[in-house]
Amino acid sequence: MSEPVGATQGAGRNQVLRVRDLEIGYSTDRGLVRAVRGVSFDLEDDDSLAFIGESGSGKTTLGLSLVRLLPQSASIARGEIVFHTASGGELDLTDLDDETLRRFRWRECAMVFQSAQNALNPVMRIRDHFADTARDHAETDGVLKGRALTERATECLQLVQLDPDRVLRAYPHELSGGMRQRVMIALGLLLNPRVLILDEPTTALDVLTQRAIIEVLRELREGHRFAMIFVSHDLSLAAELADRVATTYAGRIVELGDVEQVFYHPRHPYTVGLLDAVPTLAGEHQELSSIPGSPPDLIDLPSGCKFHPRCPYATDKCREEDPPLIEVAPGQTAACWHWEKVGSDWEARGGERHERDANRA
Amino acid sequence: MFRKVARSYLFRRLIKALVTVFVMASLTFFLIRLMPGGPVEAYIANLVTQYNVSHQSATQQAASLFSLDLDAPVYQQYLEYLGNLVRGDLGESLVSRGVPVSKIVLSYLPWTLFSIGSALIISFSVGVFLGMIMAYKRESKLDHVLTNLGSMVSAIPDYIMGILIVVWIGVQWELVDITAMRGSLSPGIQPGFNLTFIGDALYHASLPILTYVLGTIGVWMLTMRGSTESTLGEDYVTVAKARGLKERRIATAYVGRNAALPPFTQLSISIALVFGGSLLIEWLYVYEGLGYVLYNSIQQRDYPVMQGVFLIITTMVILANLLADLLYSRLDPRIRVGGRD
Repeated sequence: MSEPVGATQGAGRNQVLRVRDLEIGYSTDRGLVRAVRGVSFDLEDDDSLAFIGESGSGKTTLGLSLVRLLPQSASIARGEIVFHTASGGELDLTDLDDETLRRFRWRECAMVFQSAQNALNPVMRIRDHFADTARDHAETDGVLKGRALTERATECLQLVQLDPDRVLRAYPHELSGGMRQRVMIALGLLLNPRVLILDEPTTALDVLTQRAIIEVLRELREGHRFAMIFVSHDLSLAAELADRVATTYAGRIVELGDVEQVFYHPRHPYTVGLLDAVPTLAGEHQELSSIPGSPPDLIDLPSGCKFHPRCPYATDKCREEDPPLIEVAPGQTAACWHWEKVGSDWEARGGERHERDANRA
Repeated sequence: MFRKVARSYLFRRLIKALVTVFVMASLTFFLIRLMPGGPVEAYIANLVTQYNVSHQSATQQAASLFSLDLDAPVYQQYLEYLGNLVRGDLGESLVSRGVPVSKIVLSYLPWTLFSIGSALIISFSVGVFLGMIMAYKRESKLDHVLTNLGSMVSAIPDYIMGILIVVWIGVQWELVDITAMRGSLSPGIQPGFNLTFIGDALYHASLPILTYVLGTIGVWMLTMRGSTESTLGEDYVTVAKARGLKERRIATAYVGRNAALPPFTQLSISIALVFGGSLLIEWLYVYEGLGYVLYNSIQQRDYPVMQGVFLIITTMVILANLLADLLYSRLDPRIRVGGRD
């Protein structure tokens, strides 16, 4: 896979994560599920990158691989994940011994999971969750306990707009779903990680709570210097919180660029399909369209471009040859043979309307 | 406010326990009076056949002995019985004349509590520990061996297990001196807080304890294996790993702590089963506990003692369940709130 474009702009920023040609497969009875296929990207230390795509496009697998929490049946077949730690060292995440990996997790890279409803130990108070995390990272951070721990936990909880006095004493079941999700984010901040991964952070929450979580994340983004990776099928979340967006399809990145570029000037038909499928709350009546067909079987992938069976632009070339990521604009790449046609059609269709919608979302 | 909830939960639980004891006491009372050939007839028949006394004098003897107006209406007898019960008076033994039942029961109770209590503690902790190892090493050779052993021992009824132990360990292999182990203490040993006494008590209780442990451990192993396996799949365990917690901490505070809850609820059921089973086991090993007393009193048709033992056993089971419930509510904070409404 070629070097991803749009990675290193601006000076004075430091790279925290470099992923190259990553291949992850799950071995099943039916065969190898190719969940991630040749993914490459870079992340700077104040960057915010969103992976969007349908369920089963390999987004979550990608997220899990960054903290090496893949299920037993999954294995990294190829590629490299290099993490630049705060102390300036380089960690090859595909090759870590257990203890180094344990110390790396949460200290360097924290992850807030999709199902935060059940992410907290039901028999432990919230305070003990903070204490546990601090204690087991004491080698790196020095012991944080007693009043210092309470102060730090209070600080983290205030950042996510929770009442620390009440929450620290509570058991998980005494908190609402949104509060638990915020506790998880606060817990993620405890050790000042360099990267925070959020896997569907608002799924399974009601609209108002989603709103509150997005606000919290937005404030965190503005006030803190750490990189964020979102994994979501929620385009509005990506639009609000990400600097860059990577559209994933069948385990690979099919379009990558700045959020404005990807959302206002998409050049891959799959991105176009995703944008067309988003309803708008206000404004004139608009025809919603879904992408015909369903995501491909990751065991038995179609030939050529994996999107061609569902693509209105598909030609013989698409059926035979998988397109590489082509630079379609400065800092924007798309893996489509017909990106120019996709682009001109989009602009002709009145990109403005979409632009407005994206703003509203 | 939290205290108030906890207190009311405790209060409600206590009331429930008291009502259960009351119902059990009433059932015992009516059950004994409903049995064909009541205690008096049985006693009279016994005197006539065994000692060849005339029926009339036997009847007179019985009436004076029972000192209870057996012709009074049942409800009057019932009220008197309840009244005595509240005062802790369980009547007097028919066989050992003049000895209060409460005294007999209280002198044998500690041995039963000691053997059953230590057996349950041993089997629960060992079983839960093994179950966890099985789940962590699932599909390994060790797991298969332990799973099969576990289901095997839990399939054998405890009295058969006891007989097997007597036959193999005591008689065929002669690993222990089964006759010397009879009773609850060796002759001449004085109860007291010293090593000789504790050692001797354990020596005499060891076979009953072994039987109870083997009879119950399979359940803990298998339940714990299952619950550990499902707990390992819980999100908070994955998240704990993502938080970089140490493996040992995850295994104890996250996996073990939560996985032990289902086997712990089974403890309540087991307490009742083991108490019931102790009747035969104590008889088998001639271990002088409540079960042994009950067996003898049934043999001798000593109704007041029988009644007393029944009552004390049910009370013990109810108390143990109460204790288990209260402990459970300490272990699982979700229960404490659940008790509010």
